[in-house]
Amino acid sequence: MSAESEVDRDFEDRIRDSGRLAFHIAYGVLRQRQDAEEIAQEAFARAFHRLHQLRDRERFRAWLTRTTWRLAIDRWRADRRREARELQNVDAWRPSVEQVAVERERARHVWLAIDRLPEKLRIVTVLAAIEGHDTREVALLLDIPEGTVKSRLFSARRQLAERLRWLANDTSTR
Amino acid sequence: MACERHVDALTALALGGPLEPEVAAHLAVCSACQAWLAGEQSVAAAVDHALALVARVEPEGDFHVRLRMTAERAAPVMRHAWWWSAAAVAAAILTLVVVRVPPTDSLPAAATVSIPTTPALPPSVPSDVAAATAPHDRAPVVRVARAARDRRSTATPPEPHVLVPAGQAEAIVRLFGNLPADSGPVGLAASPAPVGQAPGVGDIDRIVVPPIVIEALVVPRPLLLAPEPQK
Repeated sequence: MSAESEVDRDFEDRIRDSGRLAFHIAYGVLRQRQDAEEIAQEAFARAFHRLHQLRDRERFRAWLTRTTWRLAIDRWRADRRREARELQNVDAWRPSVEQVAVERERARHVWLAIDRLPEKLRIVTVLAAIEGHDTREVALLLDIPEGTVKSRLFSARRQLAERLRWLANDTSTR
Repeated sequence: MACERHVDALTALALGGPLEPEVAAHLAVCSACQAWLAGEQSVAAAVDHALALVARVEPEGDFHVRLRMTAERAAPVMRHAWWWSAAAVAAAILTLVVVRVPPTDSLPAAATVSIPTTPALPPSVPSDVAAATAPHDRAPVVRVARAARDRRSTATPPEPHVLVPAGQAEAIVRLFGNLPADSGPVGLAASPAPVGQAPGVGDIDRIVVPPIVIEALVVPRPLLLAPEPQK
């Protein structure tokens, strides 16, 4: 087998192995399918450049996690800046509470709270959701101790609970 | 509002923590804490519900194919990046071996680089052009000589001891020329060929530089690019 086809097959395996992971990480930040796909594609394009440096599978997945997260956060920040600019120019339309389903509105507030978490807490929260709360896997992806993942996860949930407590009160007064 | 001394325990409980016996006993009799715990649990459920969406959404259709195509389209040249990297490292090592720069503690107060020149070509001609147009009977070498380490020594300076291919001479001169202004005396001067010089070597450009240590060689970016397609 030629070296080129070996590289092709190796890359193919990694796409199958980690493609969904990259997509889910990006989706966890952006919540837009199209945007998440673009970010995953960009991350894999970069991975293709570095394939020779990322022979180890675990290392590859950790690198891909960090790169995808970084790219997604950059896109998310750029989107927020763009939205802020657009809102300055367009004051005419605002969705009223009546126009938006209550559950959707609640989910939006939850995501706003997640977005406001410090980055270290946010990434463990999103990765834990993707990996079904498997803290060991999250620790491997972030290359940090499992105990650190657990404590960050707890801190994140606690901050979310504090920020979203009004949601519970809102529901109870309904 | 929950009883203040149980707030932390109740929050931890809502987030999946253990139920301590003392808290359990209190919960059984305190309706305010029961309501607080229910509220915390509903928030935790809302967070779980929102996060579960991330794992539920799947990319559409032939996502893996699109991933592969995008990656390959973005990096057609880099397929053999490892080969280019290896070649660049080998070139750097070769250069360092040829130009044997002494370690810092044995550096002389100054070094002399003697470069054979081709009088017919102006100094601005690129080195590769100069090398290509130079007569073949000329010795294609640059001699690098060390000055005596102790400037007070009256001993005769040693003979040149390092030979550098002529094609690299200008690059070395440029390297020395790019030294910071405060790095010591750097100069370029013409002088006659020393006695005993190799046949065919004409006038000598002489550059005097302070002691330096080459820590790394940066391979120019164009080396990593694919060759221009033939027109």
